[in-house]
Amino acid sequence: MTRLLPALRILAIIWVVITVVFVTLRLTPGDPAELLLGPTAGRQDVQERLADIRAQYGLDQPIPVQYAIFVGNVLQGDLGESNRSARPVISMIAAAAPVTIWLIVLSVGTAIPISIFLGMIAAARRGRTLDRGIRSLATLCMAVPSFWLGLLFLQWFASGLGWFPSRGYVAPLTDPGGFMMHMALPVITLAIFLVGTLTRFVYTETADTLQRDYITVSRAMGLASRTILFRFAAKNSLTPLIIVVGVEIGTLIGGAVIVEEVFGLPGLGRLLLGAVMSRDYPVVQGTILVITVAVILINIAAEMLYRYITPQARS
Amino acid sequence: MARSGLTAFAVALLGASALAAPAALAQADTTLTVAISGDIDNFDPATNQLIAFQQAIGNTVFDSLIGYDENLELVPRLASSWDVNDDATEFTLTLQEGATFHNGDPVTAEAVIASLERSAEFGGVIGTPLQRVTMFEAVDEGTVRMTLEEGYAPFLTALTVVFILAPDSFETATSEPIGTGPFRFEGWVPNDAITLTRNDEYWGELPAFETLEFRPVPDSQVALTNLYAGDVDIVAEPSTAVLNQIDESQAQLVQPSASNSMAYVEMMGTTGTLSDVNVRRALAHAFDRESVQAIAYSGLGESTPSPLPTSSWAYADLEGYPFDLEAARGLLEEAGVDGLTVGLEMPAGFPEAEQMARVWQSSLAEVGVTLDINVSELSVWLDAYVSRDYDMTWNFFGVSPDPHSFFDVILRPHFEGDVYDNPEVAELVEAGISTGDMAEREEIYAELQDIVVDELPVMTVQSRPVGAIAAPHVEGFAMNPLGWGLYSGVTLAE
Repeated sequence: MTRLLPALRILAIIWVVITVVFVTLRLTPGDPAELLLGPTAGRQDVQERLADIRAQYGLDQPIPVQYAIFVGNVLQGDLGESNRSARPVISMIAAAAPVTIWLIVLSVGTAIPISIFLGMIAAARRGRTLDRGIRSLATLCMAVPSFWLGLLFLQWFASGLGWFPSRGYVAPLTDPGGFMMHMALPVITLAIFLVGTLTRFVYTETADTLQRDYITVSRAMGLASRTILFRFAAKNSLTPLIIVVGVEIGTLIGGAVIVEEVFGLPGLGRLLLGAVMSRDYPVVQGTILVITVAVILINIAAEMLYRYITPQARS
Repeated sequence: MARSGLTAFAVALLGASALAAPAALAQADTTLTVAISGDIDNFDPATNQLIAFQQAIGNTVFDSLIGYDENLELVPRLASSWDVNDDATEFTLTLQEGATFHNGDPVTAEAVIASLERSAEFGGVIGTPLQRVTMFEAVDEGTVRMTLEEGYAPFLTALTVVFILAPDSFETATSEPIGTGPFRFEGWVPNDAITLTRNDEYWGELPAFETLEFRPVPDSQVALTNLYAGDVDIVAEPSTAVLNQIDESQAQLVQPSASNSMAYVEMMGTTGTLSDVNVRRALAHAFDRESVQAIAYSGLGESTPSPLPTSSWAYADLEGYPFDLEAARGLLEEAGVDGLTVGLEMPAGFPEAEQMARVWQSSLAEVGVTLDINVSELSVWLDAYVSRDYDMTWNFFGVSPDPHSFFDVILRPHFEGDVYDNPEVAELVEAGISTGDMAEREEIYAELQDIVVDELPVMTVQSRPVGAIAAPHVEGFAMNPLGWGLYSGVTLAE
């Protein structure tokens, strides 16, 4: 029974999220059928067509009925079809997901070593100029808006110097080199934001660890400070990073929306943004459902990994 | 099972999909890449009635029977010639000889009629004029005759947005449209690219390049940077602000001979304070055309009171309302209005409209009127617009060469939806289409413009300077006054 509880909690979270999304979409002004017809949707001779569109997408049903149909379909693994393109939502998500997954994986992969390095150096040089410099840099990284930074990178490195393409995505198997070139600027843009958050975390944890008794004892034993920092302190201060990265995934997906928009990457962020703008209800609902499940799974995985590494957390 | 799922996932991640490959191959050929401001998700010309679709896909994958040239003159397209009787009730069109659909089927009168009837069935702003046809007739293999019960003068211009779809793709046109145009539909990757390839069997002149690629880039500034970086050849619909800031060493500005894109302020004429025509006139007197043009439109476009573009054959040069705050105060006093607050709705994404509103707001403040500017997301604005839930709303419209389009699309909902009460206008609009006599029509439209300017159900802001940005190596790219890019004639220099 106690083993079932976490599973029930996860299902409850998913249910709450999709219900909130469903209700919010319908409370938000804007009518998907009108958007399909544009400003002429108000004409009398267009009303019949408008009614046909509403009927076609089930928008003429009362909201509780729409909700029951939606939940029923989700339980059968059917996310429905786009109101705009009539494509199955699941295949649209499957096409967009790899772009976002790569963007996030590469950004996290880039940000973690940089953050660890910067955070630990700053903690070891606590109170000195280097420390202050690194911490100011971290704050700057967090404060700079991604959209502006992305545009700046586009102007410098894509348009000005011509080092990187300014837009688009190439799949890694189609053209591995092109994939790296296309991902470079988006990954750096997203990673900079993450470096800000993670560096500050590593700094706090390491600084805290360096105050502990066992470090003082090590120092007294005459061990080199580099050994102390990278062998003893690192182990304790870096493991919680796993949990933080898990928590940050949600924020990163939010950041991906902006980065994908600037760099023209056809990922989940643009899919979601476009669907919200055109009030494509099934696509919004399906995408959020998939993102929710992904974030939950990543957090569970992070927690399991953390418990595996730190024996005291296992009990 | 779990393993095959994982494999499928790995394959998706690595992108070994069938879709990715042809796009990569096409890169090696001559490709014209065009940045458009929004994605297109439905490729059925009968159900997708948005202007963005007509410009990008309608005009390339499809042919209409009759088309526009770059000055909006009617020119043969899939119909090589046409004949109209004097009452404008019988339209006989001869089809191009040897034209085929992209699937190889010949373009016959039956196929064209099937496509037209389907458009009529779907109605909307495109299909409605076709609903006036009482009989579609295949006179012979290559001749179509349409008979209307009553005269309908704008019928030929209405045909310019009715795109002919192959009967074979009626069921699948949403995702796989088959037309007769200079380009075949190759594929669509949402939010990434719409790829068209040259139709080598085209009945008309073949484009000089092989692939036409539309890439959705919502932000004009990003699109311009993409162009500077060489990843985009043309930015199709940049915002007015970006249009005015291009670096001429890296890009060229392409503008049509005139602009038929008109910006308006539509007013609520039957309820609330604005139902008094003198209040509407007072607001118009406080509208400083000169400053609006200088500030919001960088001095571009034409600022005239008539709702029709100056290039229209029916355009009437009217005096309108000179900028005169004293006159505005007098009219407000006459109407007995004091301390008025008026809302002005507009969709986000049109900075020039917001600037126009700010200019107007400051002069209105001088006559004691508070202008409440509400900028909403497009879908929210659209909802308020369609349900006529506003005091005033900004809007813009590409007036087709037939003046009826303004009165039909913009003004009709006003008198049909109880937003504007003048039965004479409805009668005149009907009269304007039921005769083919040009002198008579010109007179009717002169009178209609006079009434619209006098009673202000709609106040004209000015014409919008439309244009596109092209890379230096793009040659022969033209735009028509509706703002449609004419891609077929482009050549790409080395």
